Amino acid sequence: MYSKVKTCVLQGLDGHIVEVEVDLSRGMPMFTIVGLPDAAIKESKERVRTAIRNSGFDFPLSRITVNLAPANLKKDGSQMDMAIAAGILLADGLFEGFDPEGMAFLGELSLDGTVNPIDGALAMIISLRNLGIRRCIIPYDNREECGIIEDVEIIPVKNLVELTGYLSGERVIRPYIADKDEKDPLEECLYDFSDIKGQDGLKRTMEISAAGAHNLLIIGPPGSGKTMAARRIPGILPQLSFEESIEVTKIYSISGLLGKSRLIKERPFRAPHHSSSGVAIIGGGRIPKPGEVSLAHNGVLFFDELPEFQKSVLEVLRQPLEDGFVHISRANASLSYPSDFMFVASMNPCPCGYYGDPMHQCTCNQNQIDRYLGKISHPLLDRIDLHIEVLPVKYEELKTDIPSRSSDEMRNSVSIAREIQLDRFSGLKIYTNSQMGNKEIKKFCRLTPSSDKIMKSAFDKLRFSGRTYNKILKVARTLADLDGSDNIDDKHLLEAIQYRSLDKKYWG
Amino acid sequence: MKSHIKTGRLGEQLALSYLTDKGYSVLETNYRNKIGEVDIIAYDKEILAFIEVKTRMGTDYGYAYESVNSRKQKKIANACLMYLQKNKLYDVQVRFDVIEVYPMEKKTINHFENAFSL
Repeated sequence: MYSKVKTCVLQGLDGHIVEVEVDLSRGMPMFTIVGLPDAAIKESKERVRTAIRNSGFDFPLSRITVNLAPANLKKDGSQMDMAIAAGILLADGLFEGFDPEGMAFLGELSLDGTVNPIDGALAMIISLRNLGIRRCIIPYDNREECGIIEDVEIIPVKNLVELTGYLSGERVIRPYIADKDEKDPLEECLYDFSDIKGQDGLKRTMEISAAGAHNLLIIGPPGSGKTMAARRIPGILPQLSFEESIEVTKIYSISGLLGKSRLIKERPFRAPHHSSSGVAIIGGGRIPKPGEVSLAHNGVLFFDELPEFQKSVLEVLRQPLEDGFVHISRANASLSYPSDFMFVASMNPCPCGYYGDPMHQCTCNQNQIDRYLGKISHPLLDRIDLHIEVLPVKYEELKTDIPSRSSDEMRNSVSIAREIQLDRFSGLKIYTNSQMGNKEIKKFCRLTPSSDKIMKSAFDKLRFSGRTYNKILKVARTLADLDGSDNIDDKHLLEAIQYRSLDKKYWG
Repeated sequence: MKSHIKTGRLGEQLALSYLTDKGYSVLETNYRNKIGEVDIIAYDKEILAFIEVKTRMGTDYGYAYESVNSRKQKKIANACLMYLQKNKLYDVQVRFDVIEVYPMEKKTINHFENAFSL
């Protein structure tokens, strides 16, 4: 009267196999679960008992001991209900001759026996596949996200009756395979860059930023179109590649943000409000959950009104901006989440907003301005590749009928530049210019003697840091790619340097 | 004899005849040890059932089964453990039942099999 089935727990994005051992023996009727279960698993006792009864089976009248092995691994999540229920029924002798080897059970039970969807199904399936599991029983509602994984048989079940039918061989459930090529009803980007009149410089910078996934800081008075332009960035970014999609979908899956959708194909755009806490941005909790930086992985993280954020919140961005991942440590778990995002921020130059505006009078005194700008530290500025200042639009620009550059045109040139980058970095595990390390910069960002001279004089005059120097080279590389040129020319370098001269004006 | 004890005796007799009709073989009635007491101990085929009988003349003060609360359950369970140990019944499947008896109603007996577990 013993059985053993497999299920999975997640630690961050990594899944571990958990063996659910069930023993039924005679004695006092009892139901105990051992093996470091957390509250959600202890509660599964009641769900499993009621679900089995309400599905028309007898809950075995015996002493039931459930062990979750390995016993030293802390287990959380509700996905073990189905494995426990299957283990109990198996130990009760319901499926004679059934061998659960190479098979895993994932799913939460509700009291009527329905199998409820779980968080993190995709991440679990991927880990289970790497650990040698070839068949997975999953909740019906998780089938879309799981079905994209080949070489694991995905068996979606709606309720416990279907599961027992499948295990006893009375019911045939075909493995679910998601149609990868099927187009999702393409969500039209509601915003288009052609809505923005004038502001050609800003649009040009956005294009560069999108082409090389460079971080961007926009400074300007209120109403100049900063936020409007930033909201249009997702529309010009190229679609995610399959590998990137999986990375993003895994994060959304464990955060429970996936909803009905299958693979996420659009780049995420996250715009947290400036009252967000550091933990919300970076991720955290007793068992750390991904924060905004991870939810923006492979996409855009947009901070509107940058100086309004708490200073401590801004400073936590330093490490993920540099490394492309965050490591969160808590007493219970220490986890890494990817956070390779494009950082876009917008801000006013002073508290009243009109400092440097030719049309309005700024009412701030120098002290106020210094304090306002001082919220943004040099180390943070240093990590932002492109700085741009925008001025209010003029009446003539606003009324003009000349169509301005549309998102479609911008997206085309961005995708061409991105393809050049993918070609260049093929096999290097990097996709964009902004991800280049020192080695790649040396290899791909060679300067001609004349550009070298320009760089030297700019370096001395503007007192760049080593990081700024590298960032400029990367931006210059992107500018050359947008031009379709193999070499970085003087004009590319000059434009790149120009995007880094602004911090001297405001933070000098 | 006080009336509530009379009611209890009546209920237990009704329950007993109900169980023997059902084919239970009764081992003990009003079993008592230093921990607690069990109204009826009987074999339902190979399962050993410990049965608590509750008798009420009406439902004005709630249903009879409601009075078998967790404190009472623990007491019964402990008394049973002691019974099992004394009789060296180490490998037998056990069950706890509750029987409600309403002598004044149309349906006098209400049997809850496996009413609670540890």
